Amino acid sequence: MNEILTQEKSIYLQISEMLENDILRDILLEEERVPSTNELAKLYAINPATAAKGINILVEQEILYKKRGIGMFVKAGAKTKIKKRRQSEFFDHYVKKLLEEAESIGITKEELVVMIEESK
Amino acid sequence: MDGIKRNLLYWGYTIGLTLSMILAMVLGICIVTGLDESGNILFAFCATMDEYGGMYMPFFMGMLGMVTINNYLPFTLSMGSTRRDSFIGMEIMLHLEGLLLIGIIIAAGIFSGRTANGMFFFGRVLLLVVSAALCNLSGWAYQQFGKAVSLILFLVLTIMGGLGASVFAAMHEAGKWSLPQWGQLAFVAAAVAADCVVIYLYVGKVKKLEVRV
Amino acid sequence: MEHNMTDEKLVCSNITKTYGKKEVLKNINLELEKGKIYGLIGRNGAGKTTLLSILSAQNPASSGTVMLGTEPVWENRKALDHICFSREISALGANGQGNGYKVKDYLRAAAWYLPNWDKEMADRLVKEFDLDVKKRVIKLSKGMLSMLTIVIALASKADYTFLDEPVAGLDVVMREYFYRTLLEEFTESGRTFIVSTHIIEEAADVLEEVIMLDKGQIILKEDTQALLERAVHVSGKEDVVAAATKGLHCLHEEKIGRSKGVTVLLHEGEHIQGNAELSVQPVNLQQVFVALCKE
Repeated sequence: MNEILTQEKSIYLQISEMLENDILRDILLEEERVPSTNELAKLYAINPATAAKGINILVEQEILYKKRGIGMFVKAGAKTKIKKRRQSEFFDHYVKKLLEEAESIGITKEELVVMIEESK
Repeated sequence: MDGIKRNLLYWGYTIGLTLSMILAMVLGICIVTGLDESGNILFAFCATMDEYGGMYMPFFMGMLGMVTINNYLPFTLSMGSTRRDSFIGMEIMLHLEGLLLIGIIIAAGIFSGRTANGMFFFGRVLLLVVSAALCNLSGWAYQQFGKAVSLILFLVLTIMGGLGASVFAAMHEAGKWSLPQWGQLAFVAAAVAADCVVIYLYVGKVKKLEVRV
Repeated sequence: MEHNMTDEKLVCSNITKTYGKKEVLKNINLELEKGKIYGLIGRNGAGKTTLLSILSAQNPASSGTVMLGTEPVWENRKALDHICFSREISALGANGQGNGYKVKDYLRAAAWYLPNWDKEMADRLVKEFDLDVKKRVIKLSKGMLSMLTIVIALASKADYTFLDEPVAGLDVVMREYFYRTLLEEFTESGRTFIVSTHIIEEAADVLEEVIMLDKGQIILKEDTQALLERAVHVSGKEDVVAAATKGLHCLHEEKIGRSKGVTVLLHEGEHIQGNAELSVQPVNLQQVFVALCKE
């Protein structure tokens, strides 16, 4: 949380990503309460429906769950789930772009591997 | 009924303001012309009220009519009132407060010792109906013909009416001629009919009224 | 039997409005639900104010009907008690404004006419906006006029509240304050708001659904986020772009040299993938609207 919203992506996706980032960074711990739709809407000056959409994605992915009458909570094992999912997405989100860019400017795969191995 | 109630409040207040301007003006005339020999303020006020109040009532009402159709009515519409409720509230308070003013004029007349005969009352009743009708007429004329024409129209009518009334009164006073009962009734009936006709015309304008910025 | 009108839909059917020879609104069909913040977006003169006037029965339509649930809105106090259209107040004291009225005259009239008027809220907002209630409306700045409009709209507590260009004249700090206050009130009450504006990008985050009006017609009505997801800008070498966007709903294109950029509205099932040759970028609400107007 407390990141700024950008134009790059749908707002509700940014909301869910931010919550995921916080879970990964141990800002939100498992079985802890997550800000409500209205609190998020107020914080980011967005429509509550949009905030709700972001939270619902995480509920569907079983990262958050609802305790009736109390609010949304981080599910046990959420951190692991997020890591696993992001690992499987890693190629599409980062590596593919890296390979495309490298190709367009003429860096070979072997040179890439050297870069990676020599990096700190 | 509730929709009319809010309009009674608003129009009561709005029209009331106009009428209190008449009272204030009369007071102003009193002060300017100075008290008469008897030195009695109340007496002077009443005499002035009787003389000028009646004279200026149609004038103020006509002006009110033009501001009403152009400002106050659209204002009530912008506050969510229906045209029907607003119009009814306006007409009720117009006639009611007009009646109140006439009552004050009559009381003033009686108190200041003016003759309280039939002609006197007839004249006042006529004044009430004519003022109300004039208010609606000038509003209608404004929508129909525009600002200039309606202003001229109502000024002409007011002056003519005023002249006619004073001629009438003078002739009556001089004993030269007196209007019989049926004549008075006929006049008042005609004025009421005129008021009704004007209201009918006015309604037509209110229905089509547009609120604009 | 008293049925609850609060949750009814506001439905506009075949609304047309003609002024003289000019057709200002053409065959408008609209269904508005309870509990949403709608944005009515359009250029100056598109017909936004006219539409809102007709929706709130302040002005008559040339043809067509507006219904709140089963009740027609025209000349119907029962329906109108649930609607508030806080118009733009003109400093010139023109038609529709009280003659020489002060701020407190407006607030007093609002208390009389609006059945759900919340005086406490009005007083609080007046204080927060630093409005001088004794000041004549003619003497107010554009910003203060907007603030008065906002106070009346919010404190009306009407189920359907319309605001016409509420941020006109407000500086950026006040604008942000307005959006936050609007959201707060919306969150708490669940009232429906329609906010018309031509300052689009700022309001985008707050609007759940956008209605785009151009030249008197509705060119789009959609959930804001859904719309933004399917709007993309594709750019790269001219032939690459042409191939990628073939058969798609292209709104607007620019060319310079060998490069070409196209704004595209993707429809159900369509998708464009970016790569080294092709940049695919998201588009913001303002850009979508401008592109749609140029179509």
